[in-house]
Amino acid sequence: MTVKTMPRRDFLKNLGMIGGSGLLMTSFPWLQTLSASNQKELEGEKARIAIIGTGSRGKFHINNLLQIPNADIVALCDDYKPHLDEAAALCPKAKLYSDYRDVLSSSEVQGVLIAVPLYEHARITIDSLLAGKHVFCEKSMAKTLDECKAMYETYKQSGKVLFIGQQRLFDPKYIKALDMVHSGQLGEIVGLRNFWYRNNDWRRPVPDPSLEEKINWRLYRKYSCGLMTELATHQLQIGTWALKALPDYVMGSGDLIFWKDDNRDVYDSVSVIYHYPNGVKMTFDSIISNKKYGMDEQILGHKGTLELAQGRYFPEEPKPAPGIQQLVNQIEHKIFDNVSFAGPSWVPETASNTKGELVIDHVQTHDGSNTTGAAGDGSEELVAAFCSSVITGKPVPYLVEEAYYSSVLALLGLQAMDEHRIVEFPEEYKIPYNFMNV
Amino acid sequence: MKEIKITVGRQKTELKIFCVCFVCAFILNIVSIIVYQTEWKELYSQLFWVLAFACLMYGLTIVGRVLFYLIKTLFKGHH
Repeated sequence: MTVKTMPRRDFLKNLGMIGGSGLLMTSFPWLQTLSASNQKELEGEKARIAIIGTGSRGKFHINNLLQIPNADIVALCDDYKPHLDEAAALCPKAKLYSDYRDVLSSSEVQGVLIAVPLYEHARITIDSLLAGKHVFCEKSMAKTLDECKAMYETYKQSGKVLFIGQQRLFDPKYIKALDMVHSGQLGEIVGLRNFWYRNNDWRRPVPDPSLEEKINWRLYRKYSCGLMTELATHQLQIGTWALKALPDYVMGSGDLIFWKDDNRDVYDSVSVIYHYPNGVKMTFDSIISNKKYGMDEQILGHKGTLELAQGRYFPEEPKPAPGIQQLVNQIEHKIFDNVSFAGPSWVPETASNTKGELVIDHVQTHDGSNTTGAAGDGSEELVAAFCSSVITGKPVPYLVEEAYYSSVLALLGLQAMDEHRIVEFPEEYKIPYNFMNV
Repeated sequence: MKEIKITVGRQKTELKIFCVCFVCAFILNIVSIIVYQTEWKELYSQLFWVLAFACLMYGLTIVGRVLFYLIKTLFKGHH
């Protein structure tokens, strides 16, 4: 994994750095949980959290929670003992469980952080909300559209807090970039391109063949929807975030083209197009047998382009070079250029290799090859916000709605690929959410 | 091998010539900012280029002076 580190800094300071924080909190209301005034209210308070699922992502969250003063990990739960033992070594005071229902019956636990395979998200989240617990569930929300809807409805009825692990909502470079989009700096948005390329088999080591499906659940349709729910959900959220609209139809194609010999049944090559009512298209492409182009999300406006994962902005008309350099160029051209008798009839339109401008001073980037999480990607701020909400008991506006739609878009893309047809956005899966307020 | 000595007077002269070159390069930067309508902060942000221009000009003065010296020596020899 390539990590360009920046000095460790407080998220609130970074918010101050990237513009008027008050204004940002109006535009991105979920950030209010991390506001200075809210943080002051929480001084000395602790959110008592249980971790359900202590695999790689669970441990990543545990390591983040251990850095957060308002977090107290009181329980750990996993039905796979080696993972539970590893997590217990990180939190020696936590009680250990092998059945999540026992965690839910504990009055000590205020909130649960669920990092289990996708097919269990809906059941455990719904049971937890009904048991009166606040819930943080990893993305994608659920394996089917109905489960996503059921989770959303249970959340609304319960009055409890629900977070879904869409960490880009708390990543400073994404917040600044989306602020630029909404302020019109990019002009009219004319396209969105998402891609995630890797070159590995996406497989984890298995100590015993009987554990293959338990450990490599991502590779089997019984437990996962593959690239769409594991990778695309992160990126598809950018569409609703930037365009403040839902696509009207989806089309795509998915195949197993390279990793064919290991019994997996999820696609290893997907291309999906989301069509919005104004004609703008958002694409998602993923291949896991070539990593040349890595991972990024690109927002294309008629005045400029954003590369979100790199935190860079490329104006269509780049800033002119400094005067003295223009003078040098002019002298150079006058001396060395050949006198042409006729202009070229065709100029190759290869991509510009300008480096663009950083959207914030200190951009922390990663190449997307890490399957667990990366430093500075918003994950720590997201779980910190969850702890704040557990203490206050106040749900955070728009978080669940954004996550709901990103999961639904991923599942609709999968449906389009599976059924080889154009899938219209089903009315029954629309929820009350006014994008224009965000 | 003959030891070359640079007198204090010569050093002062060279320094003065370089300073004149630097001032000329600085003025050139100001003219570029006005002609190409770029930002005034380039007065300090482009100092590296100004320094490079100053060195180039100083180099040209050396070449010019060496040529002048050679031609002068050639004429003296004929007489």
